[in-house]
Amino acid sequence: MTRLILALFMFLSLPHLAAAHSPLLSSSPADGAAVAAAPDAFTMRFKGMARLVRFSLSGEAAGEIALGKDHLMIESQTHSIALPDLVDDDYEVRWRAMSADGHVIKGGLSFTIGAP
Amino acid sequence: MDAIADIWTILTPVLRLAFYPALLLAVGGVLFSMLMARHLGKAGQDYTARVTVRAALVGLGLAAAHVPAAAGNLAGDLQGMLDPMLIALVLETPTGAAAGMGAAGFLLILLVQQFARDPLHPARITGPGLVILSMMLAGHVTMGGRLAAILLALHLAGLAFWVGALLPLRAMSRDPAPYGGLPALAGLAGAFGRIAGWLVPMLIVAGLAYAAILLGSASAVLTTSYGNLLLAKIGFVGGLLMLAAHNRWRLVPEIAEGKPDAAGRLARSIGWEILAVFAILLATSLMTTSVTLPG
Repeated sequence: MTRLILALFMFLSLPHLAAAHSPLLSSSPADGAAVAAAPDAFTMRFKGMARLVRFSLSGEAAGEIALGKDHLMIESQTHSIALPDLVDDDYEVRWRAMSADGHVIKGGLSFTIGAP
Repeated sequence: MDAIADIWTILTPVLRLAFYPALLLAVGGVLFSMLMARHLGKAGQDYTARVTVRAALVGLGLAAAHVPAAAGNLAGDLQGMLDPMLIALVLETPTGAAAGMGAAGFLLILLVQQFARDPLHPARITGPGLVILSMMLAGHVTMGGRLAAILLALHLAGLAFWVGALLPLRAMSRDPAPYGGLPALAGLAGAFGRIAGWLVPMLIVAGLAYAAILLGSASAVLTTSYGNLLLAKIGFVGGLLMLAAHNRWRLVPEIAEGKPDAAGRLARSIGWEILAVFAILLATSLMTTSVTLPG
């Protein structure tokens, strides 16, 4: 019986755990985008209202980028995060937020600044 | 865009998977003892009350645990569970309201269970009512409007009555003697089957209508994770219904005829029903915590 329950859990869980909540409609720069010039801000647009709780940006060479906290804890469908001067690099964004229905939503994306 | 996998990717559905049985057994235990009051007898009522109290205690703890769990999930680590700022944030949200109302409902079930011993005392319905209402405050149901909330409430109440019946019926089937013997078991199982006759269609209609509201389109059943999980859930529900039909039309009449091994076979069949319910709740916990609604 225990084996059957474990098998059920594996069968149902694994494909879906990898596709956890990430209702981000769009971002600028977009996921996978390569932009020539460094943007002044990173913009995120969610399906509904969301309160951004965590946001981090790191460059492959530049490492963790220091950001302010003014963009956190604000409930909005669109969030704009002011960016410092970024050098050419591959960047990775990680974010977590609370959606209007009480779900914790989270996700990650990457973009490149400069020549590929 | 990538989803982030972390400890909460596993812990959140596991917490929900532990919470649902507690909810259904606590709420269902009260409903079962009220609706089956004429057939349960004192030993059956006492057994059902013990299950209800234990489930309500677990439900109370797990409802309260939803708040630090959401805070930890927001932080992305276990330390976040103790972050006062994140806990305060969660308490302001629908998740905090649902946890508070759910905990109050379980507490009320425990208190009323102590002070209103009469299974038909009207106060006994207040705790289950609060617990079910708490489930309307947060999550996907809030996206579906008032009709979705009513359908979910009906679905939950019906399913709770069914699940609340499983453990007492299994205990009586394993050893009928302390509960009045085979005639009492046949009477109780027969009465439960008659209620299930109209309960099952209501559960199916409410569940499918609720899913249709949230899904938005038929194609989403095949093309989205939410729809795939719904399909799996429907498959498990089908298995549960076949077991229930076998019990009602085959085993319960055999118990009424006094066939000696029928009660044991009913106990084993209910064991499989419990496994089917677990699979249904596993699919549901993933649908409510780990995938987004289509559209």
